[in-house]
Amino acid sequence: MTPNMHNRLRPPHEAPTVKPPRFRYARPETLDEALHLLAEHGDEARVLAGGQSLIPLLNFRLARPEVLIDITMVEELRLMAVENGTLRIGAAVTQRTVERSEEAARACPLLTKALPFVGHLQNRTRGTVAGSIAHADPAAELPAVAAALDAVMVVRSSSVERTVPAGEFFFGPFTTALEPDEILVEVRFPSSGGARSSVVEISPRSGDFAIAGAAGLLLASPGGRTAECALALFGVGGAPQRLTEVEDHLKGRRVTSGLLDEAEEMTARTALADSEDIHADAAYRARVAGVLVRRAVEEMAA
Amino acid sequence: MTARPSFIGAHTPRVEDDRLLTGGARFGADVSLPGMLEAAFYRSPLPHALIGGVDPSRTAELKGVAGVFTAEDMSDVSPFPDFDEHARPVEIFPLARGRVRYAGAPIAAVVAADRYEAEDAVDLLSVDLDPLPPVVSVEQALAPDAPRLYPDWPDNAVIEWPVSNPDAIAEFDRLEDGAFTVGGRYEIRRHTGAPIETRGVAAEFREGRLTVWTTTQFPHIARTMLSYCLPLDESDIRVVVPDVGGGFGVKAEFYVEEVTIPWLAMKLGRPVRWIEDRREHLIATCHARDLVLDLEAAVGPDGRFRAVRGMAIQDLGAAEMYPYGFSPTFTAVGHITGPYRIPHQSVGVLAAATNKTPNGAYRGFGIPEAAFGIERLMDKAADRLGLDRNEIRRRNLIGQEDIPYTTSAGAVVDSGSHRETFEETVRVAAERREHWRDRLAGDPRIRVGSGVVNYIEGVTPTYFMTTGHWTSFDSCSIRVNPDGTAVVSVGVSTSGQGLESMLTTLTAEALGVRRDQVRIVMGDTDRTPYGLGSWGSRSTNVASGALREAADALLGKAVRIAAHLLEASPEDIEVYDGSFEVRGSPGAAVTWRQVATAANIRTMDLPEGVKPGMEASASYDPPGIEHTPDEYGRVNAAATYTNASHAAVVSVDVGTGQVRVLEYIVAHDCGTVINPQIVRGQVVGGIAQGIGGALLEQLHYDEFGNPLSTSFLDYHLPTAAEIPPMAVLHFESPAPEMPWGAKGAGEAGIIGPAPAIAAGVEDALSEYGIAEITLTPITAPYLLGLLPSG
Amino acid sequence: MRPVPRPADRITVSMSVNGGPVERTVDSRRLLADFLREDLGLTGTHLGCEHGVCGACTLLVDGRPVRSCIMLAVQADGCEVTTVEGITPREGLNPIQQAFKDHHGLQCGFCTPGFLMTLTGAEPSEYPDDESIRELLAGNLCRCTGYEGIVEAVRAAWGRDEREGRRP
Repeated sequence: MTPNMHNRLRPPHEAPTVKPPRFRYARPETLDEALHLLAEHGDEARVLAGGQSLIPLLNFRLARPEVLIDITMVEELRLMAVENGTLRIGAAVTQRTVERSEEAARACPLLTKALPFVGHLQNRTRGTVAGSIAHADPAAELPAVAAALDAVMVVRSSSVERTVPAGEFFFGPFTTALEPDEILVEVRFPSSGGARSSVVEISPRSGDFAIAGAAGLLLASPGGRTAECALALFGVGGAPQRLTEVEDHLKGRRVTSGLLDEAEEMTARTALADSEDIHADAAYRARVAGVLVRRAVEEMAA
Repeated sequence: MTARPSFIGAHTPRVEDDRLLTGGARFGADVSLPGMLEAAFYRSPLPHALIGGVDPSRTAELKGVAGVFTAEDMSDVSPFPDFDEHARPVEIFPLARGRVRYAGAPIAAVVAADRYEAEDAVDLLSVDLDPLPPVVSVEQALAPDAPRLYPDWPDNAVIEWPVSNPDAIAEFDRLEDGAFTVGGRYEIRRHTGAPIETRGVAAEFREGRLTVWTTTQFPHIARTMLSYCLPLDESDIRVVVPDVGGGFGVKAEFYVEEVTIPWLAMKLGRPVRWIEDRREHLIATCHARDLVLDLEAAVGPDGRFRAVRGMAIQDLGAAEMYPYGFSPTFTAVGHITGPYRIPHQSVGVLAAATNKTPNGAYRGFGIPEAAFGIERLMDKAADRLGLDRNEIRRRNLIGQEDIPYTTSAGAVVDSGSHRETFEETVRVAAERREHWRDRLAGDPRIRVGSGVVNYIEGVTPTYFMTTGHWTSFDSCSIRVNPDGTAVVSVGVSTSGQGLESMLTTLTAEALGVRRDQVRIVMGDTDRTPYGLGSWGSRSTNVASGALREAADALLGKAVRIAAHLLEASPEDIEVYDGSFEVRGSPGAAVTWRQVATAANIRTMDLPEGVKPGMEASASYDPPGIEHTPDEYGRVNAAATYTNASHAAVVSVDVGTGQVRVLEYIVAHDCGTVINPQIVRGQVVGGIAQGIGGALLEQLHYDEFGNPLSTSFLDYHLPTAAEIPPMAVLHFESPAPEMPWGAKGAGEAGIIGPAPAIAAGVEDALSEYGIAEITLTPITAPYLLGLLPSG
Repeated sequence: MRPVPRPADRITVSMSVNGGPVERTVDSRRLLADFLREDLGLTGTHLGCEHGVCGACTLLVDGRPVRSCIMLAVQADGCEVTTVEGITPREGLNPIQQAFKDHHGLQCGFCTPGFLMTLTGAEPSEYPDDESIRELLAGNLCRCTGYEGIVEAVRAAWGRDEREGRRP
C-alpha cells in the first residue's frame, strides 16, 4: 500500500465533525513541567505548539488526545540563536519569527527561502519550525530542509535527552523517531551561509502542500566545481529523501547542461516515488522530481 | 414629464457594503434564538447500503442531548412531491428511509445544547448498515447486470431523451462536396459552487406559526415546498433569508435539511439551528456538471458548420435533489450551437443515477458544458482544415444581419454584438499574447498561447424545465411612506450579488426619489410578494419588470397629486432627486414627502378622483418565454440572450505541465448596464470560478464510490495567486423586450474559461503537436501526460 | 517551585478583545472563533471551513493575523485579540474598509472580514507589487469577486497605482 498523503485529513464521513472532542489542557511554563506532564500522561497526551496541524486533526477528531500540553509559554523553548556555527531553534519559535530573522537568513538561507512556502502568513504566525518537523507531513517543506541541512533534532523526555540526526528522524508519513513521552525541544541547523540554496516545488495553488518539491544546497569551489552538495525531495515519497547518488555525481564536477540532464534522469530513476493521491500519481511525482532537482541545481549553479 | 439625469449606467456605491465591511451583517450562522438547540447529522459512510437500525443508547451519557431522530420518527412528513413526467420518479425523504444512495446521505439528526455536544453525540451513534454494491460511473450504471439504486426501476437511467432530427442527420449523410465530420467526447468533471458560507437553517415554532431562517436563493419556493412536506398551510410558514454568503446555484436547491430542522423545532418545541460544516458541504450540498458531450459536427469545406449531433451524458449522482439535477444537461443541449449559425442539431440527453452526491445547480447551468463542447469542435474543425481558429469562428458567427436569429435549439436571439465582441477580443488577445511571448522569451521552460471563444447565454429562463412546476414570473410591491421614503419588496432574493443596490438604483430611476430614500425588502415571505427567487441570471429582468410597472402606477398618481398641490398641469411636472417641479417655473416644487403626506395623511389635499394611499404592486412575466420543448428539443426557454467573447493568455511549464493564466480578456454584452461596477464584478467573479473549474476543482471519488475531496485541502478553490488580471470590455446591445434593455449578468463569466484555456494551452504547445485537450480540469499531471517525456 | 499545572477541561481565560478586558471560563476545547462568536456575540468573524484553509475567520492576536478556527480560546489567554468589529471606527469606515467599498472588493461579504484582518495585520512594505499582494491574499478564499476588486482595493489603500505583471 502506498502512503496515501490524504490520510492527513480524510476522516470517515459519518461524523463530519469540525469541533474538537473533549480534552484536558495544561500550559506549563518550564520544560520540566512539560516533560513531567508528558511522562504522566504519555500516550494519552499530545504536545501542542502552534497547532496548525494538530488542531485541524482535533476538529476532524482524527486525533483524540485526553490531554493537550501547550508548550508555547515554556521560556526555554522560545530561544533562537546562532551559536558555534549552528542555528538553534526552540520548539516554541514560530515560523514567522524565523522567516523575519536576519540572523537566521545569514546562517541558513535555505530555511529562510523555504518558509514562505509553508502554508500562508496566518499559519506561519502560529506554526512552529519544530512542530512542522515533528508532524512530518511527507509533503511539507521543513522536514526536507532539515534533511538537506543535516539538521539535528534535540529530543527530551523527563529522563533522557538525546539528539537525532535528520537522516534518522523521519520514518514515513507522520511518523518519526519521537517517542510518546518525548518532546522535540530544539532543532539545530548547521550554518550554511556560504553555500547557495534553492527550494522549488509544484503545488496546485499558492500555499498548498507540495505535490513534489526539492530543497538543495550547493557550495562551489573557487574553480567552479561543486564542492559540497545536498539535495532533498519532499512530497514524492512518504518521508523527505536525500538524493545521495545524485549529490555524489555532482560533486567535483562543473554544472553543465549535460550534467543537469544526468541529474534529472538519475533523480527520476532513483527517487523513491510512492506517494499517490487525487492530485497526482507516483509516476508524475517521479518525473517532475527530476525536473525540480535539475532546476534547483541550475539555480544554485547560476 | 421626464426624469432627468439617469442613474442607469452611473457609478453608484453599493448600499450593502457598510454592514458587510464592519461585521454588522447577519448571516445564517449569526441567527441565534432564546433557548436554541443545535443539530448535527449522522451521514452515511457508505455510498450504497440498506439501513438496519440506529442505536442511540451511548448518547445517553451526554447530558446536553435533546434527542436523536431518524426517518421512522418523521411519519408525519411527506416526501418531496415529484413533478416531472418524463423522468423516473424519485422520492426524497428528509432523512434517508431504508436505503442510502451516496456517502453523505443524512440518516439521523441529533439535537443538543450546542454544536460541540451534537457532534459528541453523532460520534457515539451506532448505525447498522448493510452494504450494497456501488455504481460509480454512467457506464457501470447502464451495464445490463448493474446493481440498481432504485430496485423498482428496470435500470439506472433517470431520464433518457434521444433526439433524432432528420434535418440534422441528413447533413451527415451528404458529405460529397468536400464536407467532413469532426467529433469528440468532451468532459467537464464533477465540481461545485462552494460558496465561502456553507448552508444553514434555523427554525422556531411558536403559536402555530413556523419561522424558518435558511440560506436559500428562493424563499417563496422554499415555503411552498415546506407546506408540501409539513402539515402546515403556507400562511403558517414564514421563510426568512439572512444575509447569504454566496449562492452560485447550490443554494437554489431545496434541501432535506430545510425540512428536517423545522420539523425538529416543531417536535421539540424549541428553536433549532443547523450550520452545515465544510465537510458536510462537500458531500451533502449538490454537486454539478460531471457531463460528457459526445458530439459530432458536419462541416462544409469552407469551415461552415452544417449540423451537430450526439448525446449529452450525465453522471447524476443519486438523483435525490430538487429542482432536478438533470436540468442543466437540457440547458446544455439548448445552447449547444453557441452563437454560431449551425442550422440543425440532433442532440439527446441521458442522465444516469450513480452512488455519488446528487447533482444540482451551479452557475452556468449547462452552458459552460455546451461552450466547452462546441468550442473544442470549432478548434478541431479549424485544425483539420488548416484554417486559423479565429477565422473559422468568423465564418460561423451570427451577424447583425441575422438578428433576430433562431438557433437550431429554438432560442430566439433578439439582440447582440457577437462579431463585435469577437473581433475586439481577438485583437486584444493577439496583442497580449505577443506581449507575454516577448516578456518570457528568455525562459526555455515556458510556452505562451492564447485561445478565443464565444458564447451566448439564455438569461431569465423558464423554471418549468427545471422544476416541472414553477414557470417564470416575479413580483414587486412599492409603498411610499408619508416621509417620502420608498419601501420596495420583491420576490427575488440576494445572495451577495448586489441586488439591493441594483433595485435601489432602479427605484430611484423609476420614482424620481433619491437613492437614500429607498429601502429594499427581500428574502422574507411575510414581507414580500410571491416570486421565484434569484437564479438563472433573472433577477434584474424580472424584478425590474415588476418594479417598473408598480413604480409607473405610483408615479402617475404622485404626479397628479403634485400637479394639484402646485396648481399646475400634470403634463408640466418633472420629477428628480425627490422633488416634483413645474417645467419652466424654477422654484415651483413639492417634495415626494409632501406628495406622500397628502396621499397618506392629509388626504383632504388630494385632487378629486385620486384615492388615498401610495402603494402599488405588480407581477411581471417576461414575454416570449416558452416552457416546453418540441420533439427535437427546440424551445425558446429564456427571455433574452447575452453574448460574450473570452480570451485566455496562458503559460505552460513544459517540464511540469503546470498552466498559469497570465491574463484574461472578456468582451461582454449584457444589454443596458445598470451598475457598471456590479456587472464587472459578476463577470470577473464568474471567470474566476470558471478558471477554478478549468484548472483546479474536482470532486474525486474512488472506484468504490467513496468521496475523496472532502475538505478544502483537497477541493481546491482558486486563490488570488491563481487568478490573473482581467481586461473587461463592455458592449451594450439592449434587449428590445426587457425593461431598461438590461439582460442578466450573473452567470456569464463562468462559461468561457474552460474552452478558452484549453485552446490557449494547445496554442502554447503547438510545437509538440499534443493530443486534443478533451477534459477539465486541465491538471498538471493530465497535461504532462500529453507531452513527450524528456 | 510552583506546582505543575493540572490539565483541566475548563479553564478561566482573560484577554483583551478589541481593547476591552474579557474574562471567562471556557471548555478547553472551545475554538477561539466560537468563543468570540457565540460567547461574546462578535459575529463579524466568520467560519467558512473550520479546518484552517479558507481564512474567513482570520483575526489578529497580538497584532498578527491568525486563523481563529484552528486556535483554541485557551491559547489566547493573556493576548490581545482584534476582530473586524475592533477595526471599525465609531462612524463610517476605516481606510481599508473604504477602499474595499470604493473598488468593489466584496460581493456577498462573507469572506470580507478575514481579508480585512489579514491586510490590517500585514506589513505593506513586505508586499511591494501585485504579485506579492496576491500571494499575501492567497491565505483567504473569496468565491465572488475573482479577487480583482480586492487587489485594486489593496493597491488604493496602500497608495500603489501601477499594475504589475505576473510571473509565469
